[in-house]
Amino acid sequence: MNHFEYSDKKIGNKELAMAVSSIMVGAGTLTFPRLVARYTISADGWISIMIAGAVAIFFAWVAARLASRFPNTGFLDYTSKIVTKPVSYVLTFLFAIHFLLIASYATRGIASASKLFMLPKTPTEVIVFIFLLVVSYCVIGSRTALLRVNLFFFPMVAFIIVVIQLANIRFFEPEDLLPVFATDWPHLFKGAQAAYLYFAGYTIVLFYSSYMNRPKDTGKMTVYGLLISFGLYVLIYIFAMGILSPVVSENTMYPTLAVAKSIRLPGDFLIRFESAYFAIFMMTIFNTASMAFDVVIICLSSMFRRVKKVVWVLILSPLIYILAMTPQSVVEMAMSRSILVMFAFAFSLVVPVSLLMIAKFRGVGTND
Amino acid sequence: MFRRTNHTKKPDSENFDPELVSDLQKNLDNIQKMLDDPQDLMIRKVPVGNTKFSCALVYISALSDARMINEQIIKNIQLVMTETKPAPSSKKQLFALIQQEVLSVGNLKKAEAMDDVMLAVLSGNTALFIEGLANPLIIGTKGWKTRAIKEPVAETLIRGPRDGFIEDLSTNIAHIRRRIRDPNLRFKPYRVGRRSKSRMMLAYIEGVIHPDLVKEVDRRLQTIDLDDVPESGYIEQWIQDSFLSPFPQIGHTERPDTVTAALAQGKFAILLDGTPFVLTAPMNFASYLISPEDYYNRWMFGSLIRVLRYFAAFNAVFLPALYIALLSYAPGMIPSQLAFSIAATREGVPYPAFIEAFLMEATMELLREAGIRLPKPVGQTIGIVGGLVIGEAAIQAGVVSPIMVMVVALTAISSFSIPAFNFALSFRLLRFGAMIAATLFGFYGIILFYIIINIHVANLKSFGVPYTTPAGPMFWHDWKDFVLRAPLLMLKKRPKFLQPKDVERH
Amino acid sequence: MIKRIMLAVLSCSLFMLTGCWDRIEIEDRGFVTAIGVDLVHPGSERKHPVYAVTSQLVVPTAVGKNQSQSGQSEPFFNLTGKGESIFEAIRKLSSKTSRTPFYEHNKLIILSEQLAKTGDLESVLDLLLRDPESRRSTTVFVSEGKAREVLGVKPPNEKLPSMYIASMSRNHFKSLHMYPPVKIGDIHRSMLLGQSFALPLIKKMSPKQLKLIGAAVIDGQDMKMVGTLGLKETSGLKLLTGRAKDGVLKVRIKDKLVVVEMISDTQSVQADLRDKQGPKFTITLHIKGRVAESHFHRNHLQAKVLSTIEEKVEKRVKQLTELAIHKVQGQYKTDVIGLDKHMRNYNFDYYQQVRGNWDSGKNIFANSQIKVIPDAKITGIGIINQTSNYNEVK
Repeated sequence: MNHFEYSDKKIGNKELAMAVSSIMVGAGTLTFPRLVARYTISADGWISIMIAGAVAIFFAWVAARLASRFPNTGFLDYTSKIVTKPVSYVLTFLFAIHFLLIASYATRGIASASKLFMLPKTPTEVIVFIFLLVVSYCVIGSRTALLRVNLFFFPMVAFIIVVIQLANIRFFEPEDLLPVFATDWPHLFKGAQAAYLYFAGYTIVLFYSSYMNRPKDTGKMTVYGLLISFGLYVLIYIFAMGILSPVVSENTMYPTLAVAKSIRLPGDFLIRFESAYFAIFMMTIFNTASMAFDVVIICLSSMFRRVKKVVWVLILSPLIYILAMTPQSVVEMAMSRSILVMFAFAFSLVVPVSLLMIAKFRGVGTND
Repeated sequence: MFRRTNHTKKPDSENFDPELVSDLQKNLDNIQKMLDDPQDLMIRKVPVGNTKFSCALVYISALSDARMINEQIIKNIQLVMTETKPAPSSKKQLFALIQQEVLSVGNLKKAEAMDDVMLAVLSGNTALFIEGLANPLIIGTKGWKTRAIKEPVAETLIRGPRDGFIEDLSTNIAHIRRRIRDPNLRFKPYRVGRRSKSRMMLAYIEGVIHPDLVKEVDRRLQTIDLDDVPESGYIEQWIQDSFLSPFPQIGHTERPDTVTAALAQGKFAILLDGTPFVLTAPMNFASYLISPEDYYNRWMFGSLIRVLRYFAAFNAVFLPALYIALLSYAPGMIPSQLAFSIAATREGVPYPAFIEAFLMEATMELLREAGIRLPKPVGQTIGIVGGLVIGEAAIQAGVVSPIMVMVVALTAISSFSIPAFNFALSFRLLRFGAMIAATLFGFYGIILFYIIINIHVANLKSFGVPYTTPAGPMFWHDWKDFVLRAPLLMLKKRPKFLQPKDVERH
Repeated sequence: MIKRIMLAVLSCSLFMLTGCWDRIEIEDRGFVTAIGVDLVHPGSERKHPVYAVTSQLVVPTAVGKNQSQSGQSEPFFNLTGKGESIFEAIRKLSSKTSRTPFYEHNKLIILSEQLAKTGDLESVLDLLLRDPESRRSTTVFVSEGKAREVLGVKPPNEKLPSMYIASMSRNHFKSLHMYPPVKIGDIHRSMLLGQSFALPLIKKMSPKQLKLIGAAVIDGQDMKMVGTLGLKETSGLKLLTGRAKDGVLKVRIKDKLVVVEMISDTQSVQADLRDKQGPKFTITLHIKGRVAESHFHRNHLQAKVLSTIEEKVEKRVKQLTELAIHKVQGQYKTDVIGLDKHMRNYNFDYYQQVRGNWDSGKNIFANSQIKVIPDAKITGIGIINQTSNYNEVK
């Protein structure tokens, strides 16, 4: 039935770029200005973001290089070529856990924000549950469709984020960005460390590259995707600083939403703009969660080839639900976040670099 | 299924399956017996001119053109044969003579089997049996009353051709042939329906359409196993990709210009005898929101109208849901003054917003249905009277708020502005889903519902073409004719998502 | 197939989960458009102050209809609840109404002068910032007299006092002595940075009328109101901070009145921080204006006439700003001019040194020298030159 070249199991360049972008612009976007501003004086966090972005771009490129060395090969297959089979199994399994945590963290993130602003009395369990149902529905469908959903949503997300920031330009006070460079390097690096987590999602490239139409372009597309979300993050951060000011951002749970809530369009439109913000954030967090879930399934089904996708969804979705419901408070959410940070550093920095180096050393894979 | 059980019980026809024989009378008897000698079966024996041979004409009077049979067949056989010198000596010679010289009819064919004869006769053709020859000559004498060509009622345009398809297949083919004089225009014939044996044509332009697409649709059309095919909707539902989707995956139209445009893009069309509705596929989401008028008007206006239609499509699904969510869950998202005045109008309305919305939407659907069912002159008035009177009375009685009536009216208008009727239907269906989602979870529910629709649509295909092209698999090139309609000079290439063989549009 | 089962499960569970926990119909909500906070026992030295919170609830039917029809019912009603915390007070107040108070449409917060002077503003404003229903764009006023009284005013042309106050304060730019509205979000920032700020001061003049009568000066360190600024001082403060655009200045030339409407007012600060304990600030005010009304019937196209007006404007500006500086620096010793903000932005090192001792503690602010250099420019004279030339000597 798949007689059209593009409608088969492969994904195009744009799909990959968008996938990289939208896994990064996720639940974190809401809290992001707070967590970065915490470490820096005034608006200097943008430097941290720049540093984090630069590091991420470099390592994303490394990861993409690693993946494109083995065109049309799954992660498990090429890692077992590079390192031994048992090691590759362990790695894949750890990645599965990592993405499982991301999926549940994203789910919990949207649930908390929705509960606070939209459904204060609805039990979190219910909010998480129906969200997960939709995620599962998406994951059960075809993988290309999942990435296509990204492709619909992400441009919308990016567009609305930009529009919302620009609609606020009246309240933007450039003076709030002063003083510049007041923060010392250690703090800037701490900020960068916090900001880095938001860019660490590029590791999905390791898994999705094998579905690429043109595996050669993996590196380029990963970097493009990263640049897009990097731009959005810088924009969100600078506007949060200019509109709320650094101190306020630091003390606001969801600075990004606070920015959206402060919009007052001239002549008051039919619906306030913040609603659009909620909508796009649900979309993008949905993208993050579904993609992370999908990567978990890629990992697991590459290890256990006989088990069907449906079975995985049925096993994993309750697991994600439980993980998402585990943190009881805001503080515990922060703790689970720090666990994620650890994972993120290990998997997005250490693993791709060492794998690529070993691969080069042993001469495995195509050298372009 | 019910029909098929009937089918097996029918007498005679199952076991009575005669062959063509050289005995003229025997053949005629067989035919008479097979059809149970109905009144309109005409069997006319004619001596062939002044020769010793005789022949017989078999036709059904209701379906054939009597004048043609009289003047061009019987007259010729009687007169021309008399004039012909020398007279044929053998039957074979006679047959050849009749076939080549005597009959002044274009459509002639030699029948090979009794089945052919039956089909021909039942389709309005005439079978000419010659004494002593087993194979009769089939003469195309179809002729029955057809409807005049009129502008399709359901797809009116301000600017555009005023003709429409009718129930007669040949006329419909003529419509297309008249517009595309390309030698590569293909009409692949099919017969569908075990009993009805309706004629069906698969039309496409070879060299433009992706060859695999033809193979695929051919495969699917071959699988059709129905008793009777009264309308192309049967075909559509048999060959569509997913029957669980609320969205149609095949388009239908009564407009020849729409069909020719589709063929020229690299799509195919399916024409069925007996219905003016021609199917076109593969379709994507965007192609349902396109009206041929977009191309007939200048591009700026065409683009504007299209943008408006996308907006209308969104309204048609989500407006009542948004009403529920904003009123019952998130009045903070409405600007203050508006919120106060809505609250004021809702004062005294006994029902929560969602019951109010369901009530009014159901009434609206009812009115719509009634408007269609009623005789035409009454139908229009019932729409207006019903809408106005019920709306006004409902407000007066305090059952609903005025703003709800506004929302319902706006929703209805929006769904009417979607050019494809079947697509508008699916939106009407989804609207209720959105309303339920909004009732349960407010804004959160609506967004999740929107996401679900997107997932579903992303998974959907029409003949292997993803439903969401050119947004889904992204084709920048096709965005020229997506939400906006670029100037014609810029639309030099056929849509990429159909992967036509011939890309250039010359 | 499984996809379909999933969809079925999904839709079924949607039906089963008919919770609708958060569904409150719009007509069952009590829209609060203003909150007033008073102290219950002003003057008494209680350890824990008791707050009286007044919420102004809208009666939508009376707001929606024409004036003639709403004769019998008031378009709003005020409810007061008391408690040691604002939250408690608000909860108590909601037990007095059939409708659930809903705060997302809250436009303003009015704090009584008593409260601002004795209570701590951080604690009062905490809930109003913390609650998810709050908006950072809500504006804050200080009322002379009880906040509750201010909210009880019955404006002749607006239906709601809150709308009346909101639109009144929106006209701040028309008049020089109306202090612009301050958003609670901006107060949050000032509080976090320990910067002093001013809030518009509102007073009930008659049962039907309110007036903005200047500004209340709030100290950034202990978050208490230290005093008020009169109309002239408020004008000076507005000029100083560069927010006097569209304001009107009245000057006299040879006892003839000339009214100048300001088109723009930009401020730039130069800081001389060599003396750590007594820094010098030079505030240059670039004012552009046009002649709005002139009783000085001379040829306004003459350079000399214009320069005279400019001179007078500068003199007037200097006079007003010095009044303001005298009050805030000399009397209140509280920096509402925003000099510490300027230092933070441009002299961060110095700012860190003096932090905590700026307008409190050692109060370096009080010892600093502030010099104002007005620079006025008349850019237009309207669409006529002279109304009469009778007096002019040709």
